Amino acid sequence: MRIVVCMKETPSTEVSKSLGTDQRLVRNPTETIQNPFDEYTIEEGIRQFEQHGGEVIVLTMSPAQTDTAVRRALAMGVDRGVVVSDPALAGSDAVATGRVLAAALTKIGYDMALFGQASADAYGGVVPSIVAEFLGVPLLSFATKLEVAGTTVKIQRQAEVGYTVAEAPLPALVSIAKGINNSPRYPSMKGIVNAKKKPVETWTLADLGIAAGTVGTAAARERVTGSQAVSTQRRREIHVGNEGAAQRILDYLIEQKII
Amino acid sequence: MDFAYSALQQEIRAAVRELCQQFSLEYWRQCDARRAYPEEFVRAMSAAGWLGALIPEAYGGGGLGMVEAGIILEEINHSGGSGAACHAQMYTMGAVLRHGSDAQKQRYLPAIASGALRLQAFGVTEPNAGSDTTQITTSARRTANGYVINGQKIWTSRYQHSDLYVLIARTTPIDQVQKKTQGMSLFLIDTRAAGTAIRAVPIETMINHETNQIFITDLEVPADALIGEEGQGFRYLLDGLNAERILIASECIGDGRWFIEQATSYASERIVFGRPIGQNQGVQFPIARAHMAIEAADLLRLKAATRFDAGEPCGPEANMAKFLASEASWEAGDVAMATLGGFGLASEYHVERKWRETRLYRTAPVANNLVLSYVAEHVRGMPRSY
Ligand SMILES: Cc1cc2nc3c(=O)[nH]c(=O)nc-3n(C[C@H](O)[C@H](O)[C@H](O)COP(=O)(O)OP(=O)(O)OC[C@H]3O[C@@H](n4cnc5c(N)ncnc54)[C@H](O)[C@@H]3O)c2cc1C
Repeated sequence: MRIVVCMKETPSTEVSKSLGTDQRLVRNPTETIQNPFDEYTIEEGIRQFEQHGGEVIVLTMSPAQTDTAVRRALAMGVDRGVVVSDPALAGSDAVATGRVLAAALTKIGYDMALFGQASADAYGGVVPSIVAEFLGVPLLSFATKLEVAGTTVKIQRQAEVGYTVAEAPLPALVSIAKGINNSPRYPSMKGIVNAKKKPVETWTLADLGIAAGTVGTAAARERVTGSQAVSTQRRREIHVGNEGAAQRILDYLIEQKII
Repeated sequence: MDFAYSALQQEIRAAVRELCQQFSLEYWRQCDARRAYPEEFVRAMSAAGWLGALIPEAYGGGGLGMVEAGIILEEINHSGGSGAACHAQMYTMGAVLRHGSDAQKQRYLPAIASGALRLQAFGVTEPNAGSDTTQITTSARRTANGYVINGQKIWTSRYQHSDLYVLIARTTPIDQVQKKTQGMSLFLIDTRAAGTAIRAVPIETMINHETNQIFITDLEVPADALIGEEGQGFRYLLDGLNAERILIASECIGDGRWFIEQATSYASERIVFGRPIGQNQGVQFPIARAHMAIEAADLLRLKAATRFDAGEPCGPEANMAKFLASEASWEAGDVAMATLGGFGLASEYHVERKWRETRLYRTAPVANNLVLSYVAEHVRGMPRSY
């Protein structure tokens, strides 16, 4: 089985973020990490590969100035990497991203393509559906459990109460929910050393036969028009003085069903 | 000259750092308070393969060099933890790798690389032979099918967490050799088969470091417990010292960086007389000075490690790096203590623990005075002082 894991590079969670004049996140390519949600996806891809054999490939669309995130996936156990990178991709919206990933998946060839539930930076969570639409293959979304038997993939999908079960014939796309809780592995020493021998290909739009005008800022139909920082205001009550304060706090905690 | 770390080295650093982040300062504080071996941490390091870094790939190890091994230990100590519980698993096997027979290498190295077998105890020091190893009295007497060992060691660390034990013993008494460095041999002992012939008595120390007095009575070992040739033990020991010096220096550099980071952030946050204490030169200069000393020691450490990996002699660099790094980390610890004021002494701030821990490296594995006499004699060509 050939499994392709679609991964995004997102800004490091350790650096502060800012928006540019175009209201888009200012990205510093040297401070990117694997989208934290994708760690579960990569882990799941590797587990499925360990179970069924074949090949597991990581695919990312990125400015490609560093390959830290791809290298990390290889060190975790992925066999090879494909990076789609082209200056014309700057400013792409979710539809353009879906178009590119769909074309890359077709070129790679896949039995199953895995996605994260969302990206930690934009949090749109729509890319898997868009890719499915372009490819015309089924998408099983928000899987918290994944099983492949023969040519069928079956998932458990988290619901408000319990879960639903869904299945689809391969080839199919699956988005993995964080709730899968599969304890993503760390890159081990062997993993890192072996990753050096694993190939990473870089493709441009031309390699995928995509016209530059259909992606990037020019083609983006989604535009961020404004943004506002979130401010949290905590509700608080202050009880001053010793007289009865402890009792009032206790009553409050009981009333709120905290204790 | 290129001072940049390779992509591989950067990835190693990031991965070890990530692993270490799973073990909080509080975890280390608890281990220290209970004088407990950091089992979970060592297991995680071993499972990820890091402790087998220096073992060649042919034996299932990482095939990495001293620069990389140094990065691994530096990151452990830089995270606020301590590499002392597991550093010897990385380098004690060097005696087997360099001087062991093919059979010994096949038998032990793959299992050490995977962590299935622990070789992280070595017995050199004796109650009456510390800096002067030639004075050891532990003896190994040849018998029909091997050796019988008798004697006493002190400061054998991690004995309770090691399956194998490298021991140096006299196979020829000192009064029967021409040079006092002759007549000593290295043995690889299976502690699990030793029974009551080896008795380990833990020594309480100011740090969480499992270390022991070892009493050896009529320990029978097979002939193939001998590493290399009989009588060459002291030379084999010296061959392993550079690696040990470089790795210890690396831990000190990690400690130093941690101290400096703690001091820097505390100095920026602590407000006294209406301003951050770090605004006072009296507070910031010592931190800057400590930073420079660590950076300088780091350069010498990397030079030593680079020469080691290139197969060039590196005795002077390795010794000097160990000296400078251990002095610098101790000083950096003192600066952190001073910067934190009273809180420096509070165990919840972890500085006092790390300071105690880093103090060891001025004394062991070699006392810094002995490094000075080495440099004076072997690097500067002055008369031998002892
Ligand atoms: C926690 C801990 C763990 C250890 N783990 C191990 C281990 O696993 N295996 C092992 O074999 N050993 C171990 N050691 C022992 C360590 O290597 C020795 O303590 C060290 O080599 C110093 O030897 P000594 O304690 O006998 O000091 P001594 O040799 O008695 O020296 C005492 C002091 O005198 C100074 N001195 C001695 N001679 C001279 C001279 N000629 N010129 C100037 N100054 C001199 C020394 O520098 C030192 O300051 C450990 C020690 C400690 C504290």
